[in-house]
Amino acid sequence: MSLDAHLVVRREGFALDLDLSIPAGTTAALLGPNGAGKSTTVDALAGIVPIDGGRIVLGSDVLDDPASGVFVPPERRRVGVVFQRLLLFDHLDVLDNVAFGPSVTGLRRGAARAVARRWIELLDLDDLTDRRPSELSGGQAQRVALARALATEPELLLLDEPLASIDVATRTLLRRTLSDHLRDHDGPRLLITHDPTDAFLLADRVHVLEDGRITQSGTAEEIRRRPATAYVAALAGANLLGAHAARGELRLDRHDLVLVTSDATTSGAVLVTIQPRSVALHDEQPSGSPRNTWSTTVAAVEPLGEVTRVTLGDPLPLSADITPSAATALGLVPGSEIWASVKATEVDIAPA
Amino acid sequence: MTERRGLRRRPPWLLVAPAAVGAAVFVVPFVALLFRAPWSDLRERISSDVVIDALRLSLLTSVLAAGLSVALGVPLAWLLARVDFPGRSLLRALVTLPMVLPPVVGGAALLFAFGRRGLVGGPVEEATGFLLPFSLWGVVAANTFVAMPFLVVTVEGALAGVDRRHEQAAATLGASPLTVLRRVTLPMIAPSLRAGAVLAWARALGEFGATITFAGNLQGRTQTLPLAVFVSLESDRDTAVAISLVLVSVSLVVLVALRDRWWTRP
Repeated sequence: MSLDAHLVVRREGFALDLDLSIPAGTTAALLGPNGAGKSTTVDALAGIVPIDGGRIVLGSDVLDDPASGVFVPPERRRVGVVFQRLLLFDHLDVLDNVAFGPSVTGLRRGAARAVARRWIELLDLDDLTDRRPSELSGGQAQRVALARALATEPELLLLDEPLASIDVATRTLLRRTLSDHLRDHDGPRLLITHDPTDAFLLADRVHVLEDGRITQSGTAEEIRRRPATAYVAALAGANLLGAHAARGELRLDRHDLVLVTSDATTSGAVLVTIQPRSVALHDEQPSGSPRNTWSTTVAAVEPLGEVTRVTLGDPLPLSADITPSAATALGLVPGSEIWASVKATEVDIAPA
Repeated sequence: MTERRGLRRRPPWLLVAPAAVGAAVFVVPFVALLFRAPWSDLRERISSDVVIDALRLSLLTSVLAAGLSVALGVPLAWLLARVDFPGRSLLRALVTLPMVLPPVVGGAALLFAFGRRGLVGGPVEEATGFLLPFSLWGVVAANTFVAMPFLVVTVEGALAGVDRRHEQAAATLGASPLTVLRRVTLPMIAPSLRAGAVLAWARALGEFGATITFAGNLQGRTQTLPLAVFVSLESDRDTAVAISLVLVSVSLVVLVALRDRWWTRP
């Protein structure tokens, strides 16, 4: 049961054309900026919008194939969607929102509610069954939307920006919930997001979508290491490191260096994010404020248009983005000895 | 604090004066009716056979017309709002025509369609013996003709305002288009649907011109309250005023009772 799709959707001034294969039991992420065609992809896979060309095959079922005239309407596709705006039904309480799918597909009210209760329990929504969607917090509503989609027992699960509207404090928790339930889902999973952190933490394979086309596919690591376009470099180039935090000190899991962060409250296992543009390079030891300062060598120098990406060597192989003129001024070539620094305020951590 | 004091500011006279005149347009005739009412023998006048028959018929036919307007008008509104077909604008104009047409013209048109020698009425009578005009169902037909546009316009407007994404979400959960309409769309527009049904009922209750033209004025069979008022005005003014009071009371009671519960959005 895998998804094999070639989607071609044409709109005035916009064309979506992408290949997407997701094996059963794996999560793919579609990462891209607004207007890249992410929501159109969701609509095409769900059957809300017919494709103009290509083919969508889920398992052994052809869902959409303009060439042979096959089009399966959304209600007969086994595709579950968590929409970006959630779209919970305001006239139904949480229980009946989740029971909606089972009840319209043939179960009697009691049986549908029994199914709903199972998912409600699984997603820790027991206390909220009587609430209306308008009485839920963002994180709660998100879980209800997930339960509602899962209760139909879909084969393909589509999550459209599931964490975009969630405040930062809840996001980590919800990301873990999502991660668990994605793992439990046997079919292919597709995560739509503009946030590289979500893509890298939740997906097995990341596809970068720009202007209707996939510009790069690979594992999170591959994309981070070798960004194919300036957009990927800027967005997905973030340095992600595993570490152990205690009172603002970060002991990195795989590198022999201790970093300092301005976040002194989070402790335990964390994911460290350092944006490449936050890494400063100097030809001699910088004086003054930066507390994270170390000497290193240049491993690679790569011009990416507006920025030049410098990959550092030991002790910490970070990516640093500097202006091409700064790169020239520093005379950077592979092997150059330089100093790197990162402000403590630029070292972001999130519980892993 | 400033907001509270702001609320106590006097409304501008330029608005209050025309508003007062506007209110008088509604209040004065009603007060005049109360002044002119034959209070001493009101009971006898409104418990006469003529009035009781007309009241019963009015309530029955207006409710039937409202029900028929919902049963036929909701699908019609859905079609106009959601399906792009040739002649949609023309059909929409035709549906709203009874709102601006003099009801007498509507009644005449109904006669040409469903009368004994009408386009549809003739063949139907020949085949089944059933004749619509001058019967209780004729009253209902005339009422529906003038009342349904109010429902269609209200519901179509509400349907146009519904967020289609909710319907699409319901479809991905396995709901067929009909189920989506029943379980998602109609509940979402419930306040407008109720308002449209009440408007249609109110219009049917007050219907006069189309009814008298198409269904006639037979006591107990097609004579509704407005018709009874019209007949009494010629012969017995006091009874006319008494029946008018009944009509006003019934309408007011229903409209006031429903206003708070139904017309305002939750």
